[in-house]
Amino acid sequence: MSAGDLRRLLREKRVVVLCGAGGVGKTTTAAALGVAAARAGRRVLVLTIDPARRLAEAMGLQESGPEPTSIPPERLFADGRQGPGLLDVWMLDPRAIFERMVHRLAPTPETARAIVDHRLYRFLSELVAGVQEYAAAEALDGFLEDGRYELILLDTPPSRHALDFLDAPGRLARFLDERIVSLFGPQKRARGGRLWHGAQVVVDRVLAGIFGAGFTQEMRGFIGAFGGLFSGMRLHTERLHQRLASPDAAFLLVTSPEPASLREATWFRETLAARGLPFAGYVLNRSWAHDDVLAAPEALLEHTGGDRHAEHAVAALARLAAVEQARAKAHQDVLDRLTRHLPTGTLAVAAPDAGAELEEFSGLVRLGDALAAG
Amino acid sequence: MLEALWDKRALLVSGKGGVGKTTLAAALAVAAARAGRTVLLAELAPEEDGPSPLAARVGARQAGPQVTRVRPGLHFVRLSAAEGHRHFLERALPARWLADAALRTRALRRFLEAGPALREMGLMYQLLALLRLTRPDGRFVHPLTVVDLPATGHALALAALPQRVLSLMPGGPIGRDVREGLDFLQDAARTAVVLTSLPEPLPVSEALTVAAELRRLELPLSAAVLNRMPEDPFTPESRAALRRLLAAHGPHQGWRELERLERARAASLRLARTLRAPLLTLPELPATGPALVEALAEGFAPRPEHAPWQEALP
Repeated sequence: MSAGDLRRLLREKRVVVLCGAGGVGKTTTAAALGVAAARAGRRVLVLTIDPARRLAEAMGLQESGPEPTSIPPERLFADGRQGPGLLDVWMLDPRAIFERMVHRLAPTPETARAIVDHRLYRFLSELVAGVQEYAAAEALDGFLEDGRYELILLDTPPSRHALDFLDAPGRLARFLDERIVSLFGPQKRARGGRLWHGAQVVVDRVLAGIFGAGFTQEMRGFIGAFGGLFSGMRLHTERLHQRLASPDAAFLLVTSPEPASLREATWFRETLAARGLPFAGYVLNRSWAHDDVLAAPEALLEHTGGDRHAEHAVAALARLAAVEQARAKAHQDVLDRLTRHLPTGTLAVAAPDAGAELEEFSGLVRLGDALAAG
Repeated sequence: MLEALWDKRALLVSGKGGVGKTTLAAALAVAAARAGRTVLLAELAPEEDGPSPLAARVGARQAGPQVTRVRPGLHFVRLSAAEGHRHFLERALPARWLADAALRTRALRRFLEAGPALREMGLMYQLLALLRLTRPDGRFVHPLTVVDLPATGHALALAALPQRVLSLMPGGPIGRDVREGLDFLQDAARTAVVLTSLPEPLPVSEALTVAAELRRLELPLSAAVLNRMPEDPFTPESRAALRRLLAAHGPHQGWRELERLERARAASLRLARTLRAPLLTLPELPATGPALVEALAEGFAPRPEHAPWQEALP
């Protein structure tokens, strides 16, 4: 149960989130699936963070710009007739996303400018640690809201755990907790009774002790201006969570085809279920599970003509073939075990190891076709 | 190749996700402990809960913010932002009661947990507190610390953080501590960054980008380790002969493994040519997990006589 399902997923969903630990090929998979969906006729956006340079080159991405880049149709449909599909790719630029968000949420353009020009704002927006996730969530929400694309493929930021991305909006919501904000807001507006007032006094002394009175004052000024945006940001976070929990969304785990990843796969499925998010299946990347029907290396022996080096070559190739076979079998076993325990309606597909091919766009086309075909 | 590492106080191990960085960090620590050194193996992960792959590699039963002993000479800690925040508040605030009160304040605690960059600051702060720790006789409690950093994206963001913080608030307690930490990290006599990669095109590209970025941040890249280099069964002549055979008779079984081997050779050459740091190449070994850690440590072990003077004392 693989081929039809992945094709259907690409045809019917509005957002497909690709999760996975760093290094498993999430970006490549997102790109290849985007290519396949666009070639099948949909208006597609691939949202990615910091793709490897060669992959970016293969997709025709220059530097990260303020807007998505369109893949030229003659490239997308290089092998034949052009369809109605469209493929845009955007390398997320957290700074641009935050700036756009400020302009959208601020009550007046002057307020927006005051925030964006603040030195604390520049500090916050330039941090990458922990901010990529916020930016990815914010960008996804924005694109889902404006309806420009029929399908958005989100390549989540690299992390050790497959689902780290999902915690970011929650962390943001906690950070934007009004009571926390009020700690830094104008001092007189402390609410919530005596206990809260006590906390305020402690916090004042702590902040002055840590940051010094001058900086604390500057921070208060900034949070006073920025604070007006928080309710809007919280709204986005909640709206995004609802959208991701809806049947319009699908979560795929991209993982390596090695036995070690079986545990991660189970954990991923259970965690998604616990959060009420729609699990769609697994993509086992760089898998050798597909069987090639090729002749054994020994068949070459009849062509060696007794040459010592050629015989050595055939023997060496035979050793490589044995390693290759063991690897292919291990990958097939992992695929089989995952497939046996799949809930109905979900999929496990093996993406072939495309090797060096991915340095060209045609490699992405072939990988996308292979994935959609199971 | 790795000799220069053993005289440092902190080895920072980084690399793209999935390249064997965690295994390498564990093996370096195990090797040093075997040679009679006192080592702290520290996990610096952006997420602090969930299973710790690093703890599993060295057989640490507990993975928490308290330093625990794993085996003679080897200690383990999973750095914790909350622990770092506590250290910081205790040092920065004029009175202990104020730090305690601050940590009991829920809103402030949540602010520290959720605020951008504050977690990362907390993690680095605990690391620096551990590096600074001394015994009553003045020796360091942890003379050598091996840090397993998060995958490169996060690691670089972490590495860039001190400079950003300094540009924002050069003075005050935060500025002072960040300056001290940055001095430590940029000091090639005390710190060594070890970059891990695989012999594949994308990991090598990323390693080279990181190397350039480290130079920009003035962090000392001391060595790179190329992991899982497949064994090459060919002689130059037999490689040429095989090319001729396959060109004439089409692909045979084993060609995928052959392609992988050729990719690995090309990637490894590119890394060796472009990287301006010593490069250690490790073979592909059949073991995984703790067994692989032990096997690699076998090859790394520093010579006991190389131990610096602190270690010679009882």
